[in-house]
This record gives sequence, structure tokens and C-alpha cells, in this order.
Amino acid sequence: MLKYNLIILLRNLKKKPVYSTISVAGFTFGIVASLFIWFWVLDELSFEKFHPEHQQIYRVLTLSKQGDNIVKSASSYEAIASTLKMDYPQIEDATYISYSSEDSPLKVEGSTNKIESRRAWVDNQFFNVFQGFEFLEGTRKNALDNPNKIILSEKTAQKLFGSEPALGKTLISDKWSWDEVYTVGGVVRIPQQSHIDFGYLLSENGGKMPVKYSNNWHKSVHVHTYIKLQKNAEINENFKDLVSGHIGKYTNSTDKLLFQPIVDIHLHTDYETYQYDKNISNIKYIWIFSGLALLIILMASLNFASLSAARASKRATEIGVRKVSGSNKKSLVKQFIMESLAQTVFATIIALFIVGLFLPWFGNLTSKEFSFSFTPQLIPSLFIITLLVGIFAGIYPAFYLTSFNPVLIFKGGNPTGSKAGFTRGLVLVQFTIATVLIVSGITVYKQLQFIQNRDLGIDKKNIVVVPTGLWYSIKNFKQELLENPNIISVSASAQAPVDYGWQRGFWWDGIDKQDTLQANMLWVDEDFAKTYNLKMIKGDFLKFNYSDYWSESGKANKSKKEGKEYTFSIPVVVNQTFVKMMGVDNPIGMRLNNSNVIIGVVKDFNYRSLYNKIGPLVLQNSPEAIQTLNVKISPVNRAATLNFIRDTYKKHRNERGFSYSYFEDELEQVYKAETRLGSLIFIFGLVAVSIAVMGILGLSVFATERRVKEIGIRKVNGAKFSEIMALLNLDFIKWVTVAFFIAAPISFLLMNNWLQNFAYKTRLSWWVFALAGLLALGIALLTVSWQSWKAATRNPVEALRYE
Amino acid sequence: MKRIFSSFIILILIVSCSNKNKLNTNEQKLAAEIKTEELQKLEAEKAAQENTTIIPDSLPPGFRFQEDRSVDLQFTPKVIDISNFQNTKKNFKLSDLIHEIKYIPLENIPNKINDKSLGYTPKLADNYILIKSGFSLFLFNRDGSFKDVVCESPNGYVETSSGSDIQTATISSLNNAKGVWGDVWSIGNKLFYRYVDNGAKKNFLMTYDMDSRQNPLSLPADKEKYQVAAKGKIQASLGIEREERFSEYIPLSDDSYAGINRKTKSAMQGQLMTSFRLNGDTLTSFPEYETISNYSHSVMRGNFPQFIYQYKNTATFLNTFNDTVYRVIPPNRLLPAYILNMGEYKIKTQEGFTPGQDISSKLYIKDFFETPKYIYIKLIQGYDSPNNRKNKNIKIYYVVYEKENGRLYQLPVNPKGYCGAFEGVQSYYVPQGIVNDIDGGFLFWPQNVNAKGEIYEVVSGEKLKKHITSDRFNYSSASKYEKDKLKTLAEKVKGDQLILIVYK
Repeated sequence: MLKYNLIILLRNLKKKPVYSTISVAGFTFGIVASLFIWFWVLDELSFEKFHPEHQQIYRVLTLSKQGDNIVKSASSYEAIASTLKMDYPQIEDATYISYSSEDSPLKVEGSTNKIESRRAWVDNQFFNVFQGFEFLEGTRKNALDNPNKIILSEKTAQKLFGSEPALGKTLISDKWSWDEVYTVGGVVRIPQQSHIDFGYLLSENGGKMPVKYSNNWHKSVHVHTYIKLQKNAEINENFKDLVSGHIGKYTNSTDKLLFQPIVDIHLHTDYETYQYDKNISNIKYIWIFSGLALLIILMASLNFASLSAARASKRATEIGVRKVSGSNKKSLVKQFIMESLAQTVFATIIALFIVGLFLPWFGNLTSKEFSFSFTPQLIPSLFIITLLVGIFAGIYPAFYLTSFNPVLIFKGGNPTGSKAGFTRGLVLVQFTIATVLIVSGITVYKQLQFIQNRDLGIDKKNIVVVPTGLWYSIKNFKQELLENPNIISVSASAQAPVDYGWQRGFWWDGIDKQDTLQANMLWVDEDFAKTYNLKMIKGDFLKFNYSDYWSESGKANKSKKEGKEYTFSIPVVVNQTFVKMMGVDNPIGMRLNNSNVIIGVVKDFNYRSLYNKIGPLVLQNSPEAIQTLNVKISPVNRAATLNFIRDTYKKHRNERGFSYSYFEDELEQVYKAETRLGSLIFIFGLVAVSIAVMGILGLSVFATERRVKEIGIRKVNGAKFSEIMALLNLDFIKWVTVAFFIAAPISFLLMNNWLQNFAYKTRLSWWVFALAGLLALGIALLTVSWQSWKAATRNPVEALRYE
Repeated sequence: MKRIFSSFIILILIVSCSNKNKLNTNEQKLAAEIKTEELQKLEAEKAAQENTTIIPDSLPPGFRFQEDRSVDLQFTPKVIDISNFQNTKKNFKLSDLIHEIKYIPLENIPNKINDKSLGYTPKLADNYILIKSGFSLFLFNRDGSFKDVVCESPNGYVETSSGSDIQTATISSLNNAKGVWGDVWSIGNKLFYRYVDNGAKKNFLMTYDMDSRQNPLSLPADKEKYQVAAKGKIQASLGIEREERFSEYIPLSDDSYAGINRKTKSAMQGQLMTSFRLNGDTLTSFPEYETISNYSHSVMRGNFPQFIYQYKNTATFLNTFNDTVYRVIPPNRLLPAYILNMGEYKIKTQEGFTPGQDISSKLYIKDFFETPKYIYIKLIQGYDSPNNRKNKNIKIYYVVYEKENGRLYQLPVNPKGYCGAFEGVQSYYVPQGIVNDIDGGFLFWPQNVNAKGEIYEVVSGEKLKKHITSDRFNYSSASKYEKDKLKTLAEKVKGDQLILIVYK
């Protein structure tokens, strides 16, 4: 029976090669796209799951009052880990990681090769909680049993030792004026699916400046705390209340604790993560792409269903004969579902080949590493998808075709009746989806263009950013750089103004100290305005006398030691928003926090990503906060200029490694997720539109074939070419137009919602919808017209020969 | 097919449930708590700031600061609408109000000076525990270890009632009282207490440094003769005669204190309170505005309490029958913090004190305990006398005021379900209260609250042992873990050992 069914299937496929190709290609496209999305979604959902017992691990978050707002953050009090473990039996283990705010140099003893890497301190519980970090060298148990041990990440170990073993080797960090000597206690692999990232780890007692965290109730953005619950810990409301208020037990702070499962960090982080967490994404992308995959599968399935339904009349006689020969409905339904499944399986096999071939390209596009293997997750998933799509796509035609009355078929009636409504409905659904995707694609592209072309209020071109680490005396280096005619300006700052979010409360005369204005603080030197071409509105930019600063700073430190009060005023420049929020006309000369005096007002510029509105900003010169060099260079001879910067840097700062990036590239990094989203929407949108085109192509082939005699008769009776074209095209145009009117409000709502993520957003212009509508209509018209043209130009004699 | 479908459903369920947060907490609620606590901190800081008003070293003779009872426009007093106390009933569980219960077994007081029959009154300071027993005062660390005898006043001046439960001692002969008198207070680690020797006509305000315990003076010097030894520093000599002494003294700051009269006295004499500096300077006199005129009876009804307590290191005061809770800010300010709207239940001073006046439908406040989040109020309808209790003529209502939303909740407690004995005698015994669902411990109603808002009480080991055999404990819905902890503690402590219970 199976063999018989297969023969019928093959005959049908052979008889209608266009239909067959369209059906199978549609499926293949759908499954390829869905599989790509499947791989991506699975990877996104697998974050942190490499840690055994990951379901028991939580990150401790702090809820605290900042200005008028209650702010959630990963910042932690240093003593939280030890006290949580001590106070609550439900908590099996607690640990923290304290990141250094900048990269630090590291070299192998006796070598001159120096690298810059991010250091972090942890307590000895760290690897008990995070057991998923695989030790490539050394063991978890003895990793940090000695204060002088250092644990390297795989990348850092490779940079320092290449393929040589690192365990037991001596490393030196000369970040300060002394050497810190460490022995490598282990090399760990940090999986791609980890939010924790570090270059190397030190014990909390390691280095010459050991960190004593166990009793320190000081909150820091650098410290992140994690707990591991007992496996069957009894968690009731009372316990939750207790741990939420844990800080109040030890301090008079009103801060509360929240607990976030680590598996949620990647997709459900709704708080500022600063620079320490890597791989932070958003669950909305999972929904968007899962939805997209479903839509694509739905479209591919609808295609198959519509083409099968369209072929109904052509197979009516076959069904009639089989019914008369004794076939019951069940066996006929089985036959059609089998046919559908066979095609799905075939499409899936082809799809797997395509996916295998293009997966590295897709990984590159999404910045992920995918490996194509038949994992336990993939096999059942593929099986389910293939089965569902096959059944779903075959079930309607199966029941529809087997319901034909054989008597009506043999009498020459139209057994399909008015069921053409179904195929029209399918055109409607497919083009609605396609139009939504076209609008989405155009909007994402428009927003990205808007971001890239928006005037940030600063000059972003040809600026080289060089991380330097803390550097107190950068003056000579700057001067030497400026001797090169291709270097236009040099400025030092804490960071480049890419996405800078460090905040501090400010008060001034006339307001209550409690009523502070929370403003961003950027430490820059006197050349910052020139380098980034900032516009001054009032007063002057920062002027600074370094010898005065150090002299005053020394006096202040001395007084502090003696228990006396000594304040000295440091000039600051504020932005327009700050002045607006102060509510004063002229802030020049006003004192902030009794330690700063405003000497200028700078025109607002974007120092954070465009997700955020420009907030109040204070720019202050502090030689003690310099960690970055911003060099404005001439666009000509850039390679030579970069070499010059490198050589000069090595001359002045040999203790630190040299690296650089362009400011524009750093800006692009901020919008990487959106750029990736744009590319993916474009690709999958294209797939969806292609599937829709295949669908409409199949239907138009069917429509013209079905009406070939009618066309012949009309032509014989004098119908013009344009009339025949209109006859065949109008029906499709009508439904594509209706699809546009359904798709427009849906896509408006979707895109409007997405744009809310940005503080600065492009307009959702009418022309986006018009363009999408025209594109959909144009594609449909071109596809249908090709068939219509063929029918309209056909010789009517051929069509009417057998009448 | 069915199997595949089931597997698919299971797969979806696994994916959707895998990220369940067992420690999920209501972020909005916590944010609201932070805002409330910040506001309270601000108020306390402001009050503390005003507390530190610089008073010149020497004041001109006869100089007084003008009293100030004005409202702070930034922090206007909140209205507690007692008149509608019956509108909202809420069956609180202890875990709704309290996060943590801590049991601190206290080391035994040295035998020779420990007279159990005198009962024990606890006082919880920031870093220490104090136990007052008769006229003696003992100091413990917060972990319950015994630290010092602040004042040793052996038995002889006190007789006990037959009740034999703790805190049931009654003083028979005040004329001969020697030792610690009245309430004891602390600011930081500085203890304030009153040393009284009625026989020798001595009444001193003493301070004692609980940290260093290096206290220069032991009173009286001749211990053999007086059999009393008190440690500390005499800060001020207080009046000894009834006319010149106040019924209660409370520290206002490091260098100032206030003497407060009972309403029965202030209503007659017109003097409510006076603030002093430790050096003896009178700072401000606060007159009583609710005076009684033409009072013709020879006796007064007097079982109406006034409330004097420290809240976040600020002395706070609610006078009998008065509607305003004041923060007492030295040198001269009574800052209104709460206004009690008693409505039709209000008792006027004169009708309250005059015997025979019918107040059976009126309410007065029996307990007023302020914590950072809640105020626990016990209301009595009618006059609380032994006869009225016995005949069940009064009603007792328990209400909780939630500061954050300004709402008042009445506990669904039978208003006539109280103990028939007079509450003044059996004050410790609480037959009514909130069910302890945290560890199955005692029924809860605050007995004492310290300046940080910690609620505390002291029980004997015997009482705890008895409790864990009770149905209330055995059938409690509290977690097995917490119950087992309490059970272990009860089994470990001795019957005569004191246990301080701290509710946070």
C-alpha cells in the first residue's frame, strides 16, 4: 500500500513539476529559516546552564533610592556574601566577584611581552558556586588556596603562553610602582554562554593591596554577589522578607535585596549593567524571532495547503475513480497526509543540507558559534516540526479533496464549488505577514540610519581611543603626540563619551542637601572640548593648573589625616540640561557640593547611547581619573599616524600594553544588537516574502490554467490583451490590497512599540507603509502578471483545440 | 502520535517553567518600603538636627525658651482616624508584620542578688540588654551574656503579689524605696536612669556608660549601711517632694532631658512638661492646656495611661486624653507627628477623671507602640476597673496603623474575650493577640518597643517549655524548620532562665 501511495505521489509530482518545485522549495525555505532561528533561540536560552545546579544560583541585586527614583542594580555591598551565608541556612553558598574598573598589565616572569587584561577578585567560594567553569589546567579545589595564586581565563593564558602549559608559572603585574608576583593556580574556560567575564582572578587576599570584604558594608558597582540555595531549601514568604531586608540588619541603609536567577541574567536584565556583564540581551528578541519562525512555517504550510487545494479540481477525477473503486475516506485522507509528509520529509532533508552549509555564515552574522550536530534537542524538534508541518499542510487538502461527491465529478460539475475563497484567504494571510515584515524591515533600517546619522553634538570622525589605565602624568605624552602634524588634538578622559553612565548627586546653595540632582559625571581634561568639538554656551571650558591641583590635593589629604576640614574648589563645566534642571539663569560661579565651581556651560551632546535622553552632565578635570586617551587625527596617512601614536605610547608608557579603537567603531558596538536585529529581520523578511511569492506564483499558475479555455473564448470573441491581463490580475490585486490594510495597523503597533526602546527615534512615516504596500503589490503583480502575460499571449486555438 | 504530542507539551512546559524564580519578591512593595523608610530617616535626621540646636553655654538667669508646638509644613502630622477603627478588619498573621524573631537566652543574674519574686522588666538598648528587677538594674550584652550590675538593691522594699508570674511584684512601701526608679532610657551606649532614695530624700538623674562601664561613682558610698550600690554619674538632682518632682523623666539629647507630669497632676496644676539641661538650667516650660477647673471630688479615676517613648532617638509623647503625638525636640519644641481623630469616642479630661461619669461608649488608648512601619494601638471602651473587667463591661480592641498607607486595621479579636483579671496586675499575660505563624511561638502583641522600633519582651524558660507542649504550638502552621528551632531552644534553656524575645 505504501509503495502504491508513493508511486501515485511520484506520478503527481512529475505531472506537475512547477507545483511540486514550488511546494518543496517553500517548505525547504521555511524549514531552513526556522532551523536557523531554532539554533539561535536555543543558544539564547542556554545561557548559564553550563553550571551544574544553575537553578539554585541567584545574583543578588540591590534596590536603592537614588534621587527621587528607586533604582535596581547589580551593585552590591561587599559583606553581603559572607553574612547571607552565615545568617540563613537556606543558603548553601554565597560568593562575590569584584571587578577592577580597568584593565591591568600582566607579563610572564623574565619576558617583555606584556598584555592588558581585566582583573577581578573573588572569595574562595567562587568556584563552589560556579562549578561550570571548566579547569583546563589546575583543579577547582586548590585554585585559590594561596593568596598569591592567579587563575587565568583561557584567552589570557593563550595570550601569555600560547599553547604552552601555564600552571605553576610565575606572572608579574606592574600596574603600580611595585611588582605583584603571582603563581598560576589554574586556567579556566569561560563559555560563550556566561555573563561573567574576566581576564584573570585573584584571591580576595591576593596582591599587595588585599581586599577585606567580609566586614565591609560599603556598596560598590564593581562588586557582584551570588548565592546558591540549598537544593530543597524551604523558601517561604517570611524568608523572602527577611533576606530582602538583610542590609537593614547590619546597617541603617534602606536598601533592599532582590534575587535574580542567573539563568535570567542574559534575557531578563532590566537594570543598568555598566561594563561588567557581557552578553546581555532581551527576551523580546526571543519572542520576535520565535514569532518570525512560526510565521514563516505558517506561510510555508499555507502555501502547501493552498497549492494542494488549488490542484483539487485536477485530481478530482482520480479521487472519484478511487472512491468508486472502493477506497474509503480514511484511506484517502491517509494518502493525502502521506503525500504531504513525504514532501515535508524531503524538504527537511534538503533543508538540513542547506543549514549545515550556511550555519557558519549564520553564526558569523549573529556573532555566535553554532555547531551543527544532531543533538538530543535537535532530533525530536526536527521530527516534531516536520510532522506538524506535514500534517498541518496536508490535513486541509486531505479532508477537502476526499469530501468530493464522485457523481458530481463524473457528471462534469465543479466539485471545488466556491472553495476558491480558501485560496484567496491564504493569499490574504501570506501577504499580510509579508507586508508586516517589509514595514518592520524598513523601520529597523530607518532607525539604524537615524542613529548613525544623528548629530550627537560631538565630532565623532577620526578620533582614536587608546585605553591607558590610570595615568597621573600624561602631559608630556600629549605634547609629544601633538608634534606630529597629522595629530590635530589630544585629550585625556576617564572614558570615551560612548555610553557613559556613572552618576553622582549634586547640590548647590539654595536647595536642600537631601534634594540632590543625580547627574552623570565625566572626568576629562582641558582639551576634551577641542578634540570632540564641543560647543560652549556660556563661560569657558575647563582650565586647569596641575601644580595647583596637586598642591591643594596634598593639603586636603593632610588635613583629612589630622581630622580637620579642608575643601578646595575644582572647576567644572555643566551641560544645558543640568542648568535647566537647576532652574537658574546663569550658573557661572555657583558652587556644587561645596567643592566644585561652575565655570562654563556646554551645549548638550549625547554622551550615552540613544536609548537614553541627554541627562544632566558635569565635566570635571581630575588627573586622578584619567584612563583613556582621545586623539583626533587627520584622515590622511592614518596608518603612519597610528604607528606614531603606538611608538610614542610605548616610549612613555612601556609598562602598559597598547591597544586602540576608533570612536565611531565603539559607537557602532553600542547598537550592535539593533544592527544584528536589522540584518536578521531583513534576511528572514526576504525568506517570508519569497515564500509568499512562491505561493502567489503557484496560485496564479493554477488560476491561469483553470481559465485557459475561458481566456481562449474571450480572445476569439475579441477581448483585448489588457482586458485579459486585468481579468487574471484583478483578483490577486484585490486581496493583496486588503492584506495591506490589515498589515498596516499591525505593523504600526509592533514598530511603534519597538521604537519606544529609544529615547531618540525616527518617525514612523506614512511613506514606510506606502512603500511596503507598493513593494508587496509590485511583487505580487510581477509574479501574477508573468503567468497572466503567458496566458494572454497564448494562441486561443491551442486552448480550444479539444472543445 | 499521542505520545509525540504529549512530549511536545512537556517540552513547552519545561521551557516555560525552567526559569521560575523561587526568590521572587514584590519589587513595587520593596520600593514603597524604601521610600517610606527614607522619609522616616529624613524626619529623624531633621529631628536630630534640631536636637542638636546649639544652646549657649550659659543662659541668663530666669531665661526660658519660648515653647513651640507648631506644625512642620514639610512633614505635616498624619491623622490616625480612630473614629472609624471598625471599618477595616484584617486578620494579620505575625509574618505580615514581622520578619524575624530572635530568642536571646540571658545568662543568669548572680544568685545572691537575684530575687525572682521581684519580676523582670527588660529594656533593649542599641547594643545592650537591661533587666530591671525591683529597684535593681542588670546589664547584658546583646548575645545574652551577663555584663554588669548597674544598681544592686536587694529585696526588702518590695512585696510580691500572689500571682508569682514574672512582673507581678507590687511595691508596698515607696517611702523606703532605694534604687532605680521608673523607666530607664538610653541614647547610644549612654544609659539614663533615676536613682531614688526616698528615705534619704535623694532623687538623681544618673548616666552610665554601658561600653566602658568606667563609672566614677557608686551610690551610696556606704554599701553596708544602705545595702544599695548604684553605678554611674550623677547628672542632675531631681526634686524629691511631690510638688517639685515630675512623674517621669526622659533624656532628650546628650545634654538635656525633660520632666513630664501625669495628666492627673498637670490638669490640676497647669504644668505639663519642663525641659532641662543636664547642668540644671531650665530650658522651657510647657503648660498644660487641657486643665480641669472647679473639681470638687476628693478622688480621681486614674487608670488612664500616658505614653512616653523614644522613637529613633527622639523622645515622643502622647498625653492622656490628648489627640496629638509630639516629638519632643530640645530645647523648646513639641513637634506634632500624629493627630488622633477620636471623633465621637473622645473622652474629655474632666469627664475621664471624674468618678461616676459615664464613659462606657467612649474610647481611650491603652497601648501605643510605634515601630518604623506600624503603630500598634490597644483601645479600651469604657472604664477599665476590676469590677468592669469582672462583669465584662468593657471592650478591648486591637488596631494596627500602617504608616505607609495611613490605614487603620482592626484585628478580628473578640472585644470581650479578655482575661477577667485586672490588666494592671496581669499586664504581662496576653490572652489575645496575633497568631505567630513564623515559629509557632507566643501570641503576639507588643509589650515593649525600643528606639529602633524593635519589639521585645522577656519570658521565662519555664513558660517557653510549657508553650511548646501546647496545642497552639503543635498545631501551628509555622514551618517545621522554625518550630524545630524553637523546640530545641526550649529544651535547651533552664526553667528559671530568662529569654528575651526580639521581634523585628
